[in-house]
Amino acid sequence: MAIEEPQDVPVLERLQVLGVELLTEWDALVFLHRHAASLCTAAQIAQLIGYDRAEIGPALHRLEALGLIRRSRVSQGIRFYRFSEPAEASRHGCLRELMNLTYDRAGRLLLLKHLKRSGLAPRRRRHGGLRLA
Amino acid sequence: MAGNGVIKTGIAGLDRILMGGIPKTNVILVEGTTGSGKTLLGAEFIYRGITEFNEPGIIVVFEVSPDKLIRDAATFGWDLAALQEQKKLQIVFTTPQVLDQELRSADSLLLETAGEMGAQRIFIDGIGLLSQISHAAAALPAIGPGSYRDTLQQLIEGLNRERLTAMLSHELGDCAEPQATSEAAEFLVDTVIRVRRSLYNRRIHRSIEIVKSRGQDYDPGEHTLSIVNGKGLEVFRRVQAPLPFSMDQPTSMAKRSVIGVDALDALLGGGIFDGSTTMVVGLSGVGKTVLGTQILREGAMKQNKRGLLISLDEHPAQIVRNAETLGLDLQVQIDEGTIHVLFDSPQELNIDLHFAKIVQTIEKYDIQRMVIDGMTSYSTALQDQAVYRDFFHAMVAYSKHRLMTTFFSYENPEFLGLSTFMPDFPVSSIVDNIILLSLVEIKSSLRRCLTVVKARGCPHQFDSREYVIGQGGITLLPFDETVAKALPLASYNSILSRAPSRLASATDSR
Repeated sequence: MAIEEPQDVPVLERLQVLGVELLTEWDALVFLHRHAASLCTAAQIAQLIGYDRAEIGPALHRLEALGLIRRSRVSQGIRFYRFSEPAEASRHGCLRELMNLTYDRAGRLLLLKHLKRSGLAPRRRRHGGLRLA
Repeated sequence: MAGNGVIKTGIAGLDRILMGGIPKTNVILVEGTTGSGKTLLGAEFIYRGITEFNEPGIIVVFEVSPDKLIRDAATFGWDLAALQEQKKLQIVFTTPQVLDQELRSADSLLLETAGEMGAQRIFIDGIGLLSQISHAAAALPAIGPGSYRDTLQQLIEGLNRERLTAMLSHELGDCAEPQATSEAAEFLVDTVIRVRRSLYNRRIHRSIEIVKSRGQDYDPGEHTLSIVNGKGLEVFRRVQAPLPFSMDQPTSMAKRSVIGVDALDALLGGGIFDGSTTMVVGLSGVGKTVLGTQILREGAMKQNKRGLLISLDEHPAQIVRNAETLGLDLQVQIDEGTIHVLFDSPQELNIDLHFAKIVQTIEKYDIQRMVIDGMTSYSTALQDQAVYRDFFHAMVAYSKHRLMTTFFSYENPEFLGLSTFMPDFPVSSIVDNIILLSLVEIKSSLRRCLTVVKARGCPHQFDSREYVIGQGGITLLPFDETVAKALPLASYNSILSRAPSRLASATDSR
């Protein structure tokens, strides 16, 4: 089987199928995908992936609305954030392809090209899916 | 669940050390330095609980990324992702601050999840990080509110409340603060397991020790911990420990021939008892291995005793070839399964693993006659007289418990004269029989002689007898016969000093 080059993946189309628009949303999704079930506050997720709390809150909310993550009830500011595999085959396939892109620099640059930045200035970048730009 | 309120870890060999398992709801602390196997131990505790005992579990990590934990577990064949999908496992990534807050909270999400999935086990990886929470800016109080001890106590209370059997890993360091936190943890928990990774003669050695365990007996001391590719952890009980089963020792009145040579049996007072231990001592080249081969063939062919030859020196193929040159077709018995050969390289020899392998072979094939060829190689390979001695004691004890007839060969380095049977440590009181194979210089040639120095319970003879090695192996010459027209050994004094002098009467009679 031929190895798919990053540029072969129609990234924008895949992102649109998933409904992910912002870089913040994508970084949060990658973090939760890697960690599967995170018991923490939104502020801690923001800190771990190098964003402000004000950016992460709406991103997590939108990811939940898109059915890509699940949030438990809140207990003293803490929630369970769980990655949620899309049930529809088309969305599932798109997510897999895009996640694969995050494992090399060329793929990440391609994703970066198609994701919008939020209005807020990013904090000092330390970790996270797209921490290279 | 193993019953009687005991939970089995499921980790190979560990439950044996724990005399069956750990009391349910015990909080277990696993402490050790980086790379000692703490995370693996905790992950396997959870994995085995789910797959072998249907006990769902939770793994809480602070620093290890769950996807890496899943990836690493897959190398052992553990499909943690599938267990998560089946809702039998939940890997939770969190922070020490959140865990601290959660366990003090009446509506803890973590404990709620544990309840929902019916979790019975939990593994929290890296509880030492709890010492950093909320007090990061201030000096850590040793005791009282806000101290690490207090935080841990709350954690343990929460776990007990949920009736979870918990394993907590704690990284051990060299500086004072981690030591203090470790001591606090050791005191509060029910069971302390210490894992170590150390360099020994440039080799990596992993070990495990049960430091304490409330409500149960356990096998104390440092046991070998091994990471087995594609399987997981395996604990090998330290070889020097007393046997855990009843120390009642079976005895037998049955006497057997050693090699089927009447002359040797006569020297031994009619043969040796089943279940006895015999040391064959001699210089290199006197025929110890040949005698060992004959011993096993005699047992397998004429006495229906399955045999085991253990060697650190020679590969089985070489042993078979050498025996063949003397007309001893060992391969026939090996093919029949009546004789087994166990070879372990003396390089990187781990004595606990080696002993376990011997025991496994003996039990699998119901071995009744064993030759260990030879003890000198163990001494060299182990480079630790205490471990060497303990291995020897353990072999003797195990052999006797099984009523197995065992022969140890020992290469004595003393060429002229013999000041001690085994220079490594006194052995004469441990073994039942001692057969000494010597080279003696008579005129200008070396001749071989065999002496039964000791045969417990047997009216043995102290005569030194000349023997030759030829087709068929060792043959004892008749007491009054000579080889190459030389006088028989009976014509000399001081044979065992290896500097014999001829008797005047023998000289006259010639």
